[in-house]
Amino acid sequence: VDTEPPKPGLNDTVGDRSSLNELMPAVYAELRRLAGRYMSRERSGHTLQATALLNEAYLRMAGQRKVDWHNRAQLLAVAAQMMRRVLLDHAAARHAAKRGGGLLRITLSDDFALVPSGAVDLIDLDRALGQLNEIDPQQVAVVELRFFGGMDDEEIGGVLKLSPATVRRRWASARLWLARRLGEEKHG
Amino acid sequence: VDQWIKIREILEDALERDPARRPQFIAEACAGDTELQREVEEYLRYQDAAGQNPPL
Repeated sequence: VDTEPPKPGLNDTVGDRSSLNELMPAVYAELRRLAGRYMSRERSGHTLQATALLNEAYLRMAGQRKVDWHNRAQLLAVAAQMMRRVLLDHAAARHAAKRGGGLLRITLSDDFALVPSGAVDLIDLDRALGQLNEIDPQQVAVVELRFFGGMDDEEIGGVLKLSPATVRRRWASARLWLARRLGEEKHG
Repeated sequence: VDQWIKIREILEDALERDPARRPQFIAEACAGDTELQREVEEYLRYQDAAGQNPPL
């Protein structure tokens, strides 16, 4: 019996909780492994294509395991949360080691042009998401699924039970909230 | 929290409109609440700063 409370909005569409829960450590381990490989390859730029990473992880997982997923979105939703954790772990470790100026730079998808350089400090982003979570958890879920999960409006809507149009609206306002927060932090 | 929800709704409506029509829309939507209007406009500045955004 699973006694852990389900994460709001993410697990409630999962029909087979047990297979999902069994798979989560494996997904996490796979993401960590891939992230480590990408990071060592990108030593100078510290650029990481989160979405590419996730897709690779997904393809590997889907190929290796005989798990009957209700749809691709379910795995990606779980993986997106893990991705945020994996990337943050790397950023924190890098920060502590004072390598590369302490910054982990990840290339954001084109429509996430929060800053002109196209790169944000992941630790700052994570902190900002934590603050947004206090006033609007649903928006954080949208950002996680889209940014860390590479999901489209349709898929996110399926997970959060929102129309694609509403997902698009939430994303549009969330990125402005984040852009302002990150901008204010940078410039005092 | 309530304030952000208010801002968010106007912001999202404004973003769905043509940029040229946004100022008038925001002014009307805020209905004289200058603090609300100032906040919405502040967030929209970051939309402009981000440069070429895909149509929403």
